[in-house]
Amino acid sequence: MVRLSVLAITAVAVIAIPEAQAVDTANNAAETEVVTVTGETTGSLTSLSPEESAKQKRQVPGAFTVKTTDDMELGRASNFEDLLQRTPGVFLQSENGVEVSKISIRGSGITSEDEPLGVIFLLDGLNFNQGDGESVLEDFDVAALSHAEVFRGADAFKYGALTLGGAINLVPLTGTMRRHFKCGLKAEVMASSVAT
Amino acid sequence: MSGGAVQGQFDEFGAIGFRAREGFREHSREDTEILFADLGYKFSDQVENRFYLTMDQGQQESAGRFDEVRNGKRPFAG
Repeated sequence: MVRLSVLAITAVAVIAIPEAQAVDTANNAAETEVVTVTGETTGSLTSLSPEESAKQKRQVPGAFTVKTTDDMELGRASNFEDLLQRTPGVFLQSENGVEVSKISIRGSGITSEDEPLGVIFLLDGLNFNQGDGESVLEDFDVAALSHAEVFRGADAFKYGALTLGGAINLVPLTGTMRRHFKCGLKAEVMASSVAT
Repeated sequence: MSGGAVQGQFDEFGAIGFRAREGFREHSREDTEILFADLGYKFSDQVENRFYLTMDQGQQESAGRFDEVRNGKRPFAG
């Protein structure tokens, strides 16, 4: 067997050399164009870029939305209501105007006072909910987010059996996505008077 | 404030936020500091590790529906 394979290699070499010479002599001035192949680095493997996340639309059979913080920063960008508003099927309510305390997808946990029920929050696919199932979103700064993937309905079952409403996967920014320093200041003034 | 960088196999990102609020009514003051950071290390083109750090400190007053009227101090008000 070994002998046979050695033979085969020599045979190929013998055939290839005359061919190469033939091309060389036939066209002396043959110059090939320089082909420059450029490509972007794939970025992070753990935190996908919004473009990579959006590709899941072809794989997820049900309702799936990617909300990027670029859309959010057109307006006020201070809490999850600003990020996830106008996502189909997602209902958010803020108790005090600053923090989102109530999140419901497709009516899940709609009678719950302040704990999102049936909605699982993930950070890069890892469970972000607390041990009792409650998710405290105030712990997370939306300024650190790249985008959020919203899985509605049965698509969220891959993240847990109790995710009847859906799953929201938060993808934070990484060094590969944000390579510059950014500083922002936001101020809101609200005036009201009460007639007594 | 947020910033990130890539150094060789490492990539790091950090964000820190401060939020202060007076509120439009009594007992709705808020003072919050939030920190998020993540550090990634690429072992190879297929393997990557990432650490996350989330820190949150805040003082929040929560205004409720229980007011003086319901408390009985001013039963005939309103």
